Amino acid sequence: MSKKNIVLKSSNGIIFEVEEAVALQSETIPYMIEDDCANDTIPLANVTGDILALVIEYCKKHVVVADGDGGGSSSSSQEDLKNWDAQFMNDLDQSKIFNLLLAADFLNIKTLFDLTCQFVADTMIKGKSVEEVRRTLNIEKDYTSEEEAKARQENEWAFK
Amino acid sequence: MAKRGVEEKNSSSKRRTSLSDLPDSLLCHILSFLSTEESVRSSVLAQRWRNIWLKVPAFNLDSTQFGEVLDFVKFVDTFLESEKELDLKRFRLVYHHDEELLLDEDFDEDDNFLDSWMDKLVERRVSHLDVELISEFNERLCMPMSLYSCNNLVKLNLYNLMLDIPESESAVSMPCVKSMHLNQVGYEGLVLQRLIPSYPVIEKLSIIRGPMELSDLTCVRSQSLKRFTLEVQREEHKVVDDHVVEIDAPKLEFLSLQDHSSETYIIHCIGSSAVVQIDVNFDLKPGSSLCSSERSMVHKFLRALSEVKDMEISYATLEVIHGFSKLEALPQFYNLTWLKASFNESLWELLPTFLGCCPNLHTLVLEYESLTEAEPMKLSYVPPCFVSSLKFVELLTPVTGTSSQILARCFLTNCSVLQELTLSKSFSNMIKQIKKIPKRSTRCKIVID
Repeated sequence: MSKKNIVLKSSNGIIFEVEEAVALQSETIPYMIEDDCANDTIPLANVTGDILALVIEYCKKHVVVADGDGGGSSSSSQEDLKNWDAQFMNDLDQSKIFNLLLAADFLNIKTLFDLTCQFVADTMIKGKSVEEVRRTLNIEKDYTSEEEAKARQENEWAFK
Repeated sequence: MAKRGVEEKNSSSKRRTSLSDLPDSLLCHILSFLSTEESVRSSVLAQRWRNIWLKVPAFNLDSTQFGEVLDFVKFVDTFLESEKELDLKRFRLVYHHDEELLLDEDFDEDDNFLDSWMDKLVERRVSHLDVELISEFNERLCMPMSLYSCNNLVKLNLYNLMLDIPESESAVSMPCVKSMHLNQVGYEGLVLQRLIPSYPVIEKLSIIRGPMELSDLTCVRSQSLKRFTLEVQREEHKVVDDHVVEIDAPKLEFLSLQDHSSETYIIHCIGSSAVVQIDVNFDLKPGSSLCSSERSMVHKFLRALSEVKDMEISYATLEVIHGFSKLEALPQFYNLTWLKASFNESLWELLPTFLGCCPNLHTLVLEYESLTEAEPMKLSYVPPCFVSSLKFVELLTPVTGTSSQILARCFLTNCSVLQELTLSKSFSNMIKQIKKIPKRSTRCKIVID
């Protein structure tokens, strides 16, 4: 059985050739194939090469399990996949994570999008004080003390 | 709209991307993975974050986080009203209904906030709805009728609430429901009878009935249902005497019944090659003989299960089957390849008979408590699966005696294609003797797990 390959080009001109099944985890790419460049290179103006490499790494990992073992993947492989996902995210710095999140949104890869969002929520916000969240995420406090106090007071219950 | 993506122009000025580079819609999605309490706290981070939490498509709140119930009611109102156009993906509420509220002078009982929330949830096209009621005085609230107009609802989980009877099947408009979980939910039999046929794509249903249920019928008829779990908690003083369970679900792949209370089971149809876990006793006393109507019910019940692939069966159910097997022959379970059975000594007589009805059994897991030193299994004849198909046998027991050794011997000396006999740790003291037993299948391994 011949496998069709798809060629993707990152914003900084790096070319990736991947199997169709890997690329089609993105719900955006099929439209791009239909729209302009059938059999040609698909330019991804919003995704840089290093991020696209990560996206492809993720999609390759997830495509193998999806069609391995003739359909329904076993629970152990689901477990493996979960561990792999956790490791994959842990190895990235913040900037890469946010770029990956944007890429997953743009390419419409739902599982990767949820994975990155969940990771940000769990590791950068959950269980942290407002100050800690600001520090972790580099959020500049542009409230005056009065404004902040007012915002706090509005939902006092959440700050107990 | 904030800019999307970070373009590296000729990769000369490589800028770090931070959370502030994300558009609001993505910030909302991130916050949707947190509890509403944590999501609300983000309002204090910076100006941009002031009202983002109101646009989060998910809500997850426990009323105990509020000192005053009225503040809680007001907060939920504010959230539901602020972004009317936005689809709500998940709405989860744990509501503690206590007397304090009823004593509150500002609280008007007729002003039913649950009704108005449900209306708003319908308007906001909620897809996952999860409501838990914690009540100190055993009073359950009724889910508002507008629940039945939740056109976009995919998943419904309810705990300790009541369901009213929909006026008719056509009064229910919930075409997207795929999963429903009812735990300690009060309803009359007619509720399920009208609801389930109105869910054209439902795949998963689980019901945990508490001891105070009034419904006399749990009727599950569905052309799409794949998984059904029913757990009826044991009750000392039953409110309803004859609870009937009726199942007609030809696509069912998984069925779990845990019920020592319902007297009548009518299974019309489940999927062939299903996986089942059966722990029912038809409310029969142990050892009682079956009257003709009970016998006919058990007959039909077993016949309906005769095409399953995997079966886990409890001691209580086997006891009923034992009584039944004295009256008539058991059906053949041709598709059954995996069986886990909980035995005990009064049932050893049944074991060869039962295994004789499983001609294609591949794996057998036997769980048993303790045995007297009497010989556990007399093989009056060798079941066909011993000769042709049984490859894996597992014996699980907390304590072993000589009878356990006899049991192991029975499998080792009779099973021609056995590949592995797995024994629980309790066999350690006799493993040497067991390993000396001549094996019918020479390549059989003996493993202590």
